[in-house]
Amino acid sequence: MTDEVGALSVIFTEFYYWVTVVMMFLIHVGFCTYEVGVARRKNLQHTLMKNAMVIPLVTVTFFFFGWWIYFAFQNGPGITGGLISDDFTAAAQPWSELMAPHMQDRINGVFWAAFLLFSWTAASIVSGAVIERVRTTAFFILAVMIGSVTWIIDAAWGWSPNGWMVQLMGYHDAYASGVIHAIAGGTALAAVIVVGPRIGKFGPKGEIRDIKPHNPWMTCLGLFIIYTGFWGFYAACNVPILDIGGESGTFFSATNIYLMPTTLSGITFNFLLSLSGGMMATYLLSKGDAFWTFSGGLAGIIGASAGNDLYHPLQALIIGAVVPAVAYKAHYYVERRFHLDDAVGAVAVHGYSGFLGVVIAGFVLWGYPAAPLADGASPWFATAEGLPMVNPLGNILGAIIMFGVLGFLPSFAVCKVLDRLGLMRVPRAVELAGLDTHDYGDAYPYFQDTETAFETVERATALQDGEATRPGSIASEDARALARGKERRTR
Amino acid sequence: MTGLDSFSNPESIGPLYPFVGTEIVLVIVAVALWIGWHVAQTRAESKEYEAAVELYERIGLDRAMHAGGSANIVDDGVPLSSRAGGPGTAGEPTPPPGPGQPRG
Repeated sequence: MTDEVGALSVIFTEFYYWVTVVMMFLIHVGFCTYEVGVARRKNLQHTLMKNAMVIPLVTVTFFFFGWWIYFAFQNGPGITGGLISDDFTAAAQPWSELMAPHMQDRINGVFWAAFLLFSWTAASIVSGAVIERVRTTAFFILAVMIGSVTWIIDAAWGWSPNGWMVQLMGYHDAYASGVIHAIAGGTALAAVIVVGPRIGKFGPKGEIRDIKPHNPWMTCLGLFIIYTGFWGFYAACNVPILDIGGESGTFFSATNIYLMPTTLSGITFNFLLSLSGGMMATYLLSKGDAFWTFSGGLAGIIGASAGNDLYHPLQALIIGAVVPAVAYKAHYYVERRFHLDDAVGAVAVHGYSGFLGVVIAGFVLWGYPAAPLADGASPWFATAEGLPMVNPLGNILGAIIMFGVLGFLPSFAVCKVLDRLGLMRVPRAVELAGLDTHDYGDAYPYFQDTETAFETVERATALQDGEATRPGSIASEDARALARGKERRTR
Repeated sequence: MTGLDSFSNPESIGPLYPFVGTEIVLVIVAVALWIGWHVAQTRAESKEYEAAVELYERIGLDRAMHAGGSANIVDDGVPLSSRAGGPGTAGEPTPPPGPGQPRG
């Protein structure tokens, strides 16, 4: 910081990431708005607070261990090497002097925060799928798991120039189709399976009932806000200024997370074209349904994100249209076939789209250098210069690792344990009365509240499984279930 | 003295926060607070649901729903099973409220 040009470069980078963090905050605002819009009137405050508390819980845990995991786990550990211990891991330990205001460091805090905002997003994606019946306790544990453990392991593996998936497999996922969205979708899928559908979602003959959002406009506004925050996310995935000249001399450019060249201008083209493709495709498929058109735009970006550092904008448009179309169809197929109640379509919009986006990038970008070669690395497929090469196999396996190995499996195991301990789902009487009823009261006390047609169906459905018609019988069953859960927890 | 007493030589300054050297203690305290928070939250939520279920068992869901919150429910303390003409629960035909039995 002793010459002006050097200082400007450092402070520009510091400011660049700081701006992305502020922009990315909007993603969380959008998710909260969107989820509250989707929820029914009797569950609004519970829904809001469940997601809002992701912010402090993931923040503190990402400070404690998430940031350290990113640097320490890049070899697995145990896949291409051991646990890494170097200057980066030392700086990311929670007791490091560099995890605090320090005159000799300008980047650790803003870089940490940029990754942290990705962590919030990963956890927030899961939140929407399980609204209106999951216990807050269970969601908080899942949020910490994905936000500060599993997603950051996948980032260490597949979203770092030295990650083993990049160096060995040539994995390429520039704007996190897999490392954020596929893993969050896999996590959400497991949670949806274990927690079960909302009461009344499926009829006795397997018919699917549409549970209407309490405020569709709020839902669309939330998605609009998520789009806005997504700009910051894209910028945060780049290194803003780096000398990539190598043997040809000095040449400054922006790079992707793998230190391979891209431009802010190029990703701006691709962001907008993939958004457009997604909205156009799902508008047609859903016959102009607002929820799916907006969600399709998001799925379009997610589907093209793995390769949006390098695609032509019209490639981004086509990929951005195809992926949400498949995800849309897959959502309804899974709902119909397996009776899974994903309240906001998170598994489709993030999980299926992210998975497909990674797979497609492996084919379309086949042959591109994935990252600079790390010391001692021996890639499965290498370019003529010996660098790890992007290839279909690496990205297909990578998508499976993101969605299945780090997304679905840990979530399924944790959810099963929580379910066994009686901590996964709210009691049925509480669900019927509304999650706000006992805790918070009505969110709109000055507007008339009447029973909706769906609530009549919901109560009738609950009764089918209940103990005949004795007044208070559902609550009595719940009381017994709560006692069993308590007994297991104290054992 | 808690930390720095001069900024006159910035090149030689490292940490800017007070009590340098206490970082590990701070981490231990913060981790304990975090885990304690989860335990307290889990207990509070369990108690909340036990109380809700106990109330709904006593008064029936009919009176809990659309009452604007539990605070607005009139709980006369009479068990449902012994309340003549009391409100029912899910799906049960609900008789009109009798004298002295206000609906929530």
